[in-house]
Order: sequence, then structure tokens, then C-alpha cells
Amino acid sequence: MAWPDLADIRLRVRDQLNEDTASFYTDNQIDRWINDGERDIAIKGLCLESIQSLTTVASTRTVTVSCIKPLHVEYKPGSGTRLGLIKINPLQLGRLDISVSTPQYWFQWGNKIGIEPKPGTTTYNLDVYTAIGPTVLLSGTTDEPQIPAEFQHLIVDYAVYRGLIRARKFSGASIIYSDYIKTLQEIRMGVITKYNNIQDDLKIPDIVVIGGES
Amino acid sequence: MSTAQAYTSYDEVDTSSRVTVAATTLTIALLDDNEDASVTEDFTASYFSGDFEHTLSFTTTAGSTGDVYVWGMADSVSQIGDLIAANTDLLALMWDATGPKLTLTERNSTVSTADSSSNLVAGTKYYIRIVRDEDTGTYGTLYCYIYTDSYYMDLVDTLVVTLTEKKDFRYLYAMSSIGNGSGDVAWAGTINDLTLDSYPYTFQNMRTRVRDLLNEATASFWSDALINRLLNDGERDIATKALCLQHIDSGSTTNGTRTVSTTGYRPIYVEYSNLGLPLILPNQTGRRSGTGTAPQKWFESGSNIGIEPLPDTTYPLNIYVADYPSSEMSANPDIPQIPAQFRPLIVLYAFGNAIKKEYRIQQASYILKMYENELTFTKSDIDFIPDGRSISTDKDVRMVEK
Repeated sequence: MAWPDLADIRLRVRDQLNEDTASFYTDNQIDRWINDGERDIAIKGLCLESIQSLTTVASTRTVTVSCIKPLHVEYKPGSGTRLGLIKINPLQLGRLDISVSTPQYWFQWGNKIGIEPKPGTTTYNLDVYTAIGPTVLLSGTTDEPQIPAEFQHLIVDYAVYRGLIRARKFSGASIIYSDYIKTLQEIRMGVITKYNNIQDDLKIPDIVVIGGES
Repeated sequence: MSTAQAYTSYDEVDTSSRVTVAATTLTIALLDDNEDASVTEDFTASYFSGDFEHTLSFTTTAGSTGDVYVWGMADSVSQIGDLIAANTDLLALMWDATGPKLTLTERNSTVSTADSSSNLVAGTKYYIRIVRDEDTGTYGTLYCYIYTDSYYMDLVDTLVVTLTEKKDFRYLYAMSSIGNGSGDVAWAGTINDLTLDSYPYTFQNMRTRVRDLLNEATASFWSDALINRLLNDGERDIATKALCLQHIDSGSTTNGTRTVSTTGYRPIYVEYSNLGLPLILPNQTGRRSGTGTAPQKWFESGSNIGIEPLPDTTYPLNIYVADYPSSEMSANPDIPQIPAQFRPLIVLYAFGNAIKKEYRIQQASYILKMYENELTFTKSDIDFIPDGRSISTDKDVRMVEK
């Protein structure tokens, strides 16, 4: 059994709330906060990623995608090179230099992604890189969170801050909440946010001195 | 143990070898309505007492001519059609090829009480929530919510059966053939992801979460009706501030009329004939540089959009709007229409406003500031920012040839 499962997290929450066994806080309440915390981290961290295979609908611009946020879209032709699509907004429809009928651009609108150029009678296969929420609630004591390991300890902070609100300890809740948000943003920036190498990353310095002094 | 069900641990009856069982998928090939097939689990006597919520998804293969039960509950195992014919008490959800449609049924001895959906489409994947709420009605109410997406944004129909008996069931059906049909009509398709989780942000579950924070388990100082009002107010507040309930409405111009009416909080984009139209102000009309009579620009005006140039005929438009919730939540299993990532914020909104009733104004202000921060954070991930120009080429990274 790996750390952490529901029992581990609940234990740590109870440690911080200073209540070893259920009294002011029931296990059901703490479990709800633990699940809400995992979901909150997935929403704010965009850290639970999934690649969804979708197919466009003939003569329809949009495709439904179920996720917190679509991050990237890749067009998968039957043969040949796959193509990462460029994100646009709906204002740009019809205003881009397109000489082919296959998908080149995409945008998000609600729970849909729109494709430019608008698909004709042909359907196209897409891989949509998405951030999703947890798919199953933690309910058994050995159930483990789905969010990445680097975020899992934050579930405890979320549940404790909710617990302190219930106890009307607002100032303590405020401090824990602020730390929770700050840490979550730091981890998202350090671990989750994507970037690509640029030309400068590949430059070799003009002068390299071994030992640091000439 | 997790509430996600593994079909492989269920008991299978499949006399004609039509069902292929995997952990989270049942694949069914041309199951005739007079063949015997079921996938069930014995949860022990009276296990399903009180409220429950089960979720699953399924897809009917286009061209299927037969019916099938995609979910059921009873006190014995057979084919559900046979059980109904034998006047056995049960609950069941059937795909009916006539329509096609879904029918939710309670069988109580000789009497069936049922509700059927509007017409559905074979080949579409449907996401189903089946909920029993024993607090509504004398014996409770059974609901079936039908969606076309797993985040429960696109609601197709809601089926409602007022139950006629209080019944605690033993066996859960992941599928069942009709069994007592006349044959020569077959169903094919897949049934997936049966889960016994209650969706965390139903009307009832959000009320429970607010009560968790209020430290009042049952209605006393705060009535359920008060909390319900705050939950609906919260959904509207989020939809207004985040402009997150996004739909694409169809509209059309009228010859000689400048404006087209819209619904929702705000139109964001307008598309005509696959062309995104730029947004202008009304004082910019008549100053365009282009030619032609088709729509080229638009402006906002109250609940209308204005089209430039003045339309000379009927032009179809796609209007990208930030919408308001079309209805309030009222039944316990209802869920908000706003996107899933915004639903948890409703709890904070309702709690922050509920403690005003205790005259805890300072604390309420603190909670509502927290709510506003959360809303800003979540809203920031809905962006319309296009990718930068550099991403369209490979100039960013040039590997050295060796």
C-alpha cells in the first residue's frame, strides 16, 4: 500500500484538527473535503492529464470534449504526418491563410472545441490533450488519489482549512488557505506548466573555461 | 473499496455467447430479444436501501433493431423481461429501439410505472445518472438523467418515476437481455464504467457541503429552502462573473433590420458563413472600407447585436454567447449547468452568504473574498488567447546537423 491512501490522508487531517476520533468532525465530512480537495487541485493545477481520441462530425465545426481544459489538439491523418493544431479564437475564423481542407486550427468554446477549416463531409481523427478531474471518488480506506504525487500532500491542507471554517476559526483557515494556494501555484509552475526549447537554449557559449578561472 | 465497478467480478449468464466482459466495458454483439444474457452482482439482501446514485455510459451500434436493459435492480436473477412478465418487483432502464428511446421503469407486482425519453440516436454515446431520492414522494422518486458528455454539461432529457413502494434490492444488473421477446431483433453496442458514486455537486450534496461548513447537519437556524436559494444564486453569480456557460446560438438577419436578438449575458463572437466578424461600436457604422452586402462587422446593443452593413436579406449567423442558466435547480439530484470546474465554488458562495444571517458580516466578507479569488483563479484558465506566431513554424528550435 503506497502513501497516501484515504486512511493516510484522513489521519493527517485529524492530526492537524486535533481530533483523533470522530466527534466534532465526522469521517464522512472529512472524506468529502478530501475528495473536494483532490478535485480542487486538479482544477487549479491542471495536473491530471489525459489524451482523448475524438472524431469530428461531418459538416460540423465543433466536437464535444469532456475535461477541465483542452490544452492541445493534434490531427491524426489516416497516413502521413500528424499535425499539432494552432489555437485561435473564433474571431479569426475565415481569416487565416489555409490552402487545405484538413484541420489546421482549433479554439475552445464551452465544452466544445471548434475546428478550422470547418470539416466538410470527411471526418477527421483528433487527439485532444486535456486536463481532467478525478474520475472516481476516494471512498474505501485504501483508495489512492489520482492527482500526481507532487500535489497529493496539498489535499491535507485543503481539508484542514475547510475543517477550521466549520469550527469558525477563520484566521487559521485563512493562513492555511493562502499557503495552500501559494504552494499549488508554485508546483503548477515548476512541474506542470509546459514550455518549449528556444534557439538560445541550444547555443554553445563562445568561451568555455574549465575550472572557472583563466 | 472503490465504488467503480469491475464487470469481471460480476456474474455472467450468456447462453448464446453474445457478451464480452472486460473490467470496465461490456461489449455486446447482436443479442436477440429471446436470448438469455445478464451481468449481475449479488450485493446481499436489502443492500440497496435508501438513496443511491449509479452512473454508466453506453453506445448502441447504429442499425440495432432490438432492445436491451442497460441497468437494473431486483431481488432475483433472470432476464429482466422475464422478471417483469412474472410480476417481479424491480427497477430498470431499457434501450427501446422504437424511437429509439430510453425507458425508466418501476415494476411493483403487476403494475409498471414508467417514463420514456425523447428520441435518441443510435451511435451516440450517452452518459447516464440514475438516482433514487427517498425524500421526494411517499416512497421516493427515481430519476434518470441522460447526457451526451461525461462532465454532465449537455443534458438531453430527465426521466422521473414516482415510486409506488419502498423496496430494498439485492442484485444490481449491469445489463440484461429482454429474454421473453419474439426474436429476430438484436441489440449490439457497449456498456461502460458502472460506478456507484454520488455526483459531489448535486443540489443535495452541495447543501450537505454548506451544512458541513455551517456546522448544522439538519435544518434549524438555516432552512433547506434558504440554502437552496443561495445555491441557485451562486450558480447565477458565477455564470455572470465568469461568463463560463458558453453556447453557440443560431440567429438570422432580417431584410432591412439592423439588429438580431440574442439571449444570454453577453455575445462574445459572431460568425457568418465560416467567417469571424470583427466587433465595432455603433458610431463606426457606415465607415467600413469593404464592399458587398453580406455581414462584415457587428456591435452590441442591449439584448441585440447589430450587423454592419444593414442586412438586405436573411443571413444565418452563429452567435457565441456567454449564457445564463436556463433553469434553477429544484430536485435533489439536479446539478448546476455551469462547467464542472466552477461547480465547487457555489458551496463557498452559499456559505459566505448564509453566515450573514448570524450577523457575522466580517466573516462573511472574508469568505466571499475567498470566493471571488477562487472565481478569478478558475476563470483565468478559460482563455481565448491564440497561440503565438512562432509556434506555426519550426524556427524556435534548430538542431545542429552532424
